[in-house]
Amino acid sequence: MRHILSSWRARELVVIGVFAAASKVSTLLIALAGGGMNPLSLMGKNLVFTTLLVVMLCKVRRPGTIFLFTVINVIVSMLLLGANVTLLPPMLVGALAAEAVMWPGREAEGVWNGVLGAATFDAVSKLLSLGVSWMFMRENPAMMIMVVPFVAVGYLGSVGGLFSGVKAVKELRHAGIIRQ
Amino acid sequence: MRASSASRKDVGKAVRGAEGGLDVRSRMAVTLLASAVTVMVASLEGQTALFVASLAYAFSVRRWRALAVAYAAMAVMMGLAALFTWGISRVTPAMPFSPEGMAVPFMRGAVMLNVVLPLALTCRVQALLTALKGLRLPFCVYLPGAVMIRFIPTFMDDVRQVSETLKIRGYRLGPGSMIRHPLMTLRLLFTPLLFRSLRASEELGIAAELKGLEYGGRFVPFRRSVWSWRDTLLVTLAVGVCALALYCHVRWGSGTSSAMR
Repeated sequence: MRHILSSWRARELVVIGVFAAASKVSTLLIALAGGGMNPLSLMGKNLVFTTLLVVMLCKVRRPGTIFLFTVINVIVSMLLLGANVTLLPPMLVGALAAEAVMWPGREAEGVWNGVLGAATFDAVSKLLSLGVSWMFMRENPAMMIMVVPFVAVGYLGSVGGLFSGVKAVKELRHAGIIRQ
Repeated sequence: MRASSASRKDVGKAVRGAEGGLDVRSRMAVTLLASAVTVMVASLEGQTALFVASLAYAFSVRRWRALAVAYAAMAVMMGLAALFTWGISRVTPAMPFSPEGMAVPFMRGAVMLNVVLPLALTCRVQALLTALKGLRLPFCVYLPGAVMIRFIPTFMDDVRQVSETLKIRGYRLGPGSMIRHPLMTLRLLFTPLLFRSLRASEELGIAAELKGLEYGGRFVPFRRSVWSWRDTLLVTLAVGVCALALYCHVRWGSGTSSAMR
């Protein structure tokens, strides 16, 4: 445990912190600029989040990155933003699933292992969020009719974010900001 | 020597004055407690108890203008949500619209606004960092958390600078243009921000390594946080209010309709 905790370099931890801040602020700004949760801002919010996630996973290639990123997000959301505690376990489980999926390709070069991790994180966390929503509305399942399209639209944005993430990584590599 | 210690004491008092005389950790504890209990309490009676107490807590900060602006924004968003729910109820008869049914979710939002605003309005970045250090988190969690909190104002400045640059170049970025041209907006606003974030992370990372920040390193906080009797009182009151809300929920909330849960 001590070895795992001490193996992180300060530079990698700083990148994770900066991307956690960037994803939090940009998703909040998109939600506010869109005047609430309309389909476009919902898609844009998820697209930006997934793009940032893919870029971060290509910048910090170490097992545990996505889990640490989620833990930081969870801690700051709970302590400072008053986030709903029920939404946090799906994120943590999603991060663990993404870590498991990324483990076999941890030595691989290229963008695809990061894309796989981000896709797994989005899919699992959104699916589990739907499960949590069902738990809350189980007395009135008709309410789920409203929730499912919202999550589906958000997921479409996440899928778009995978493509824009690959494109952003290519541009950043071309600019020499992300190195192999 | 005496002069320096006196001035440190004055600075400490001034900071505590700006933060409402309370430690950041106590405000964090209240936020955490409220976020958990407001989800658990599903009755109007319990939510009313939480709302009244949290409103008094928000009033204690005496930032009336900020509170009014936040409540106005929340009223607009709640009005829109109510309008959409009413529209859906007209299309789907299985989902009837009732103002009582929307009261509890709206009050949940108001309670969270009341507890988050005092934290946001009174705490400085340095105080948040000191509080985070006081939580005794592992280094690999503390450093990204501290960077995240410290980087948020910088990122907001970056957003402002990039949007001003776009204005100079003739692009008008408003909610309307963002909805009409979402991809263009993303390209114009998001790409420079991504580059700036990566550059900032490179610079901060190098600075952190040069300063010797590493696992097992000894950090001395710039200013020690002090837990006073006021903080204990605030947390005790918060626990009491949460217990009262849960009691109200169990005692009188059983008659509440399932739509309100």
